Amino acid sequence: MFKYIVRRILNLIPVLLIISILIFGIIKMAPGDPLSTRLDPTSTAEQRAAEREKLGLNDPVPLQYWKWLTKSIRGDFGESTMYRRPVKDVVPKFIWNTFLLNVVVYIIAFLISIPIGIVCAVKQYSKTDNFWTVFSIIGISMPSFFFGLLLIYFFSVKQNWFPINGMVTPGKNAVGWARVTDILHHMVLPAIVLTIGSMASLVRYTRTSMLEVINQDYIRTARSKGLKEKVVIYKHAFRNALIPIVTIIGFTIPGLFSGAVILETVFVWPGIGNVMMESITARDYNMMMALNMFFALLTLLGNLLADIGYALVDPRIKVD
Amino acid sequence: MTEKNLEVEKKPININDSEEEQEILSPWKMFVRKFKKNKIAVAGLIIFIIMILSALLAPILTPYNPYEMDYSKINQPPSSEHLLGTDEVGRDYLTRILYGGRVSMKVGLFAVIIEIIIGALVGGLAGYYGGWVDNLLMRLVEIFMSFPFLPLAITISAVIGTKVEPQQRMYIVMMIIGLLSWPGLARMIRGQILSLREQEFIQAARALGIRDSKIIWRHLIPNTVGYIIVSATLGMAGAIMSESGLSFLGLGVTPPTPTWGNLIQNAREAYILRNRVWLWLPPGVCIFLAVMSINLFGDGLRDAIDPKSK
Amino acid sequence: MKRKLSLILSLVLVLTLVMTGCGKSEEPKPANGGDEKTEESAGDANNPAKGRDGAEDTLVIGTHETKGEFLPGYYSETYDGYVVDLVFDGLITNDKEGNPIPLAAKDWEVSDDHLTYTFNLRDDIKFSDGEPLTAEDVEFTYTFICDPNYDGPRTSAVADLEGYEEYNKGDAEKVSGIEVIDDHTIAFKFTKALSTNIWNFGHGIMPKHVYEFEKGDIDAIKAKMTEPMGSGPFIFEKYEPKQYVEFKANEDYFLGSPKFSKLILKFTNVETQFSELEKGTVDIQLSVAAKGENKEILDGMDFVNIVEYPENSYGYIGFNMRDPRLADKRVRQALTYGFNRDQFAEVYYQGFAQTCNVPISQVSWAYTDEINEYKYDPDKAMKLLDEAGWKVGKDGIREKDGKKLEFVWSTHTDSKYVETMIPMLKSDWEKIGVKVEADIMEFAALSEKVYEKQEFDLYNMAWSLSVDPDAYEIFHSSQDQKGGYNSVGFKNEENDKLLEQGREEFDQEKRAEIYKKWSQVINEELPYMFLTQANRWDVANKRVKNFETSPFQDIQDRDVILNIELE
Repeated sequence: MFKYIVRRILNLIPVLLIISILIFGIIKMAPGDPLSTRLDPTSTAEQRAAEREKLGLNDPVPLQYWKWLTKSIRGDFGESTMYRRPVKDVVPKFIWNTFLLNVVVYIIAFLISIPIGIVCAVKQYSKTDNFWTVFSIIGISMPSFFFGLLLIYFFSVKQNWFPINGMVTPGKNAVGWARVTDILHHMVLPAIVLTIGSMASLVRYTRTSMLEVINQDYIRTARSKGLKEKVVIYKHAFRNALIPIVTIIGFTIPGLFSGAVILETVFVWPGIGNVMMESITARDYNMMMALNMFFALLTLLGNLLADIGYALVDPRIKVD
Repeated sequence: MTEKNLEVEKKPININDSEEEQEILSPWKMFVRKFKKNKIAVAGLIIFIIMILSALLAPILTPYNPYEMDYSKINQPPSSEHLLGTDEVGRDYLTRILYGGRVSMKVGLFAVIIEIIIGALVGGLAGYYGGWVDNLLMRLVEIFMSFPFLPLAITISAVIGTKVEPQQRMYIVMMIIGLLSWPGLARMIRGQILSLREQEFIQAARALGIRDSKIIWRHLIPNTVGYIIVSATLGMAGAIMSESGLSFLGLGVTPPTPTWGNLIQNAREAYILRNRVWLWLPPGVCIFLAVMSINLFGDGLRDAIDPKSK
Repeated sequence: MKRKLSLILSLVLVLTLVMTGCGKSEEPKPANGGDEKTEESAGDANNPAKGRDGAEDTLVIGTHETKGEFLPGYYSETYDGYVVDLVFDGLITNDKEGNPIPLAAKDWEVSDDHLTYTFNLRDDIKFSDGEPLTAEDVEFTYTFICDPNYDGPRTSAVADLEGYEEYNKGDAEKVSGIEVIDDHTIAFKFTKALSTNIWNFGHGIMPKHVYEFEKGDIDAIKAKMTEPMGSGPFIFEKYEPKQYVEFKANEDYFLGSPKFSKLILKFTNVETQFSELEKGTVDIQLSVAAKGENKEILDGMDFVNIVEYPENSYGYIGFNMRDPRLADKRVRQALTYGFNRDQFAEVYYQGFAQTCNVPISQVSWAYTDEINEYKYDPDKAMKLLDEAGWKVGKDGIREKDGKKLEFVWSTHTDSKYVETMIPMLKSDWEKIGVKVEADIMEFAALSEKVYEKQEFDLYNMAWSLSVDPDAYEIFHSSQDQKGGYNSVGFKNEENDKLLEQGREEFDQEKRAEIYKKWSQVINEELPYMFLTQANRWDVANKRVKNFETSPFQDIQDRDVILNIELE
């Protein structure tokens, strides 16, 4: 197993390299460059040409890529042309904000979905089960941006219950508990959208995993031994269903983060989704690369986690 | 489409042995019976058919042209003449939504076709041949799977989208969605084929010296068609969703071509969100209904095809 | 330094987010006129801003987000400019009419050859850490922009200083054109005598002891980008990217303390600004799009006032004059006559717009109305095209010598302005036998196509106007080069001559005469089809007293911000 994990991690390196080449190529195909959105008649054509030269925009693309790669490996992601500061100084704050929202959503979604999924599996085809099946379908089918708009319309515009945007109340500078409640208050609406979205798939997934386990022989044996139903379900069945459930974390983490791109623009949440959109408009190459690679790495790690989970659960998957 | 493919399924079995024939024939009936029993799935199918029909029949259903403007009638609220009012240049909004549905569903459909072609090809080849082919293709799948879908779709759309005419952006969006979403399907088909390959009737066919291509086309593909159809259905729901998301961000299909996604974009203006609910609520509901009905239908399909389910 | 002082003309992206409306050209309305006093008590009870925590001494201004370029010399957008101007003082600023007036300088003298500017500094200015502001700080500030590794957008402020090249490209330790005479006197020597040079001195003065760096080590100063410290009326406290910037009042400010203790610039956008106003979470919202429907929302809030004035910007469609079809003045005129710009303004702005015909602000001393208005006149347009030899072909499109009057109009995405205009332009021009297709692309792509490659028939963008009417960088023939701003390839001797004279003349009345003539040339030649000139709405809660912005004085102007009182 350990060998398998090490090998998979080593495998990530060429994959990351190929992804970076592809993304770099795609980005460079775009017409325009960082200077084209900064039209300012006080800078002359010569000055602009000099700045292009300085940014290395006149180099052949492979050379530009090589420069980017060698620097990135050393942890220098270059300067964001949009913010005029090193990418690594600008990005962490936004990642943190996105992370904060997602972590809260994740914890809530898990805490709610798993018990629901278990109940649905235990009482398969009952009213509760049917209700959550329909709920899941609705949750999966609801475009997050539309759901977000609906919530804003009803709870921020019609009823002044929640702030319409942002993450903290400006100038409040609350500390400690007050700060937490302030952020939570801002977080309610986007969190609802994201939670319901991820709950939908989590409930379904838990239910399926549980069903598979419940129908297996050893559970029948446990039952026939006369063990209490609760013990059977929670001690024997759930434990075994847990691993595949954990696996889904791997699959959904990258999805959550990139789903945030759309939602952040709706709720004006100060996270990476917003910066991502801006960096494209501004042709901020270093920023675009850093963010895309961040998402790619997240996806890779998520997939890795999922695969390891599978390998743990299903002995039929060859580990070496 | 469903029926046709499933008919193919019967043939190979006829050649093989009669015992299988009965088993295979009955699944089709069983499938229909099971599907019909699933009321939710049937409801999904009906809603979906209605939505497709209303999009197809848009020219008959509405007397207006989705691009024709009437400056004397801008920003009108819903009335008997314009059921959903008019937009900022006086186009009938219901008409825009109907035609928008056409575009959205077209994008969804073609994106899925691209997805299936690539996914089935890659998955099939990898699963059947195994060895280095499998290794190579699976590396490719891994790379594609590691692409962060939305960020990359946004980047590509922004980058390539600028090089094409607005009327052709629709095709770019199809390509992007199709090209980024096949790996899951490829993986699944490979898994299917891998397990089929080890099954006795394929082993037998091989032992009999039947050609590879024949085995693939006659035995392996028909046996995975069910799964392909299910993932195609669910994939289309996903593609419609992706398209609407991209268009909402202004990176998908761009106006004047209407799609449900870019119609909702209107709501990003405060006034419209507040005071002209009819401009953003209906397209949103349309996306929701379309995606939901496809999902319900697809779910029903899966349950009906899966021999394990009751 | 004020952007509008420093930038001769800067570009306004006509994106929905920054789209500014266009209103009737009314006199600026004060925030609290006589009648409104009576309404106030009615609005008082349900004025949500008054119930906000700490509202009595905190002013919250809603504006577009900043990028965190909080150093004079580095900021490139108006919004970052607000922060910079609130924290730093320039040597000069401008008054309501757009004339230069002293700020950190007591006064200044210009030598007879107009090359040397000598400033006498006030001696009562202290940076917020208590250190006095001296001529050395001024010298440092301007030397910083001359640095060989400087990569910000303000080079033009110093490029004509004597000794710039030697310092920027060579080993010189000082810029010879900047001379500290004593603690409170400093002289600048230029190599060219231009009347626009005065506007280079609005640049915010940075404390040397805080920002000092080794020549060439520009990263040292850039590292301090988000912690500005200056002598201005507000002291920077906190920046939350994408959320807000917070300041506290500088009670020792040399022009007097602000009348409230806390200031917050809260980032809003078109989606959120009305809710913020309605909930009282912002007191002032800058630059609300002037449109009929927005008026309706604002009228529904009886606790806000609108300050309205003509915005210094205009939208236009540029004609590529390298194209022989468009090189003919009559064609350009015909295309202008042939587009119902008034109708467009009516449809897009719902009665809050007007068309413009010259690239000079109506409130400027250089403005003249003795120009052709090009009222919509399809008959005249057709006559002009006939005269120019363009005959209607079989397909209804005019042609001449085998060429057709068919154009591709390059334009940009994300703009309702463009979406509204496309069908109108198409159908109007079709009537005079001209075909146009819109090619919509992202802004960065459009910009490259227009300025770097110069491959287009028509394109549209917008310029914002500065205090000074000079537009040399945009219309002079010397700027017709790849990467230059004369993207349309406008070459006209008279135009060049007048633009040069305008910069070289120092007497305002004579300059006004020159720009009047220049306006007429531009108006006749039409390198651009001028579209709309917009109005700007700054919306303020009624609890904000004495709030009055005007075309040349935005929120950060000392006359505006120091006058504001809160209730």
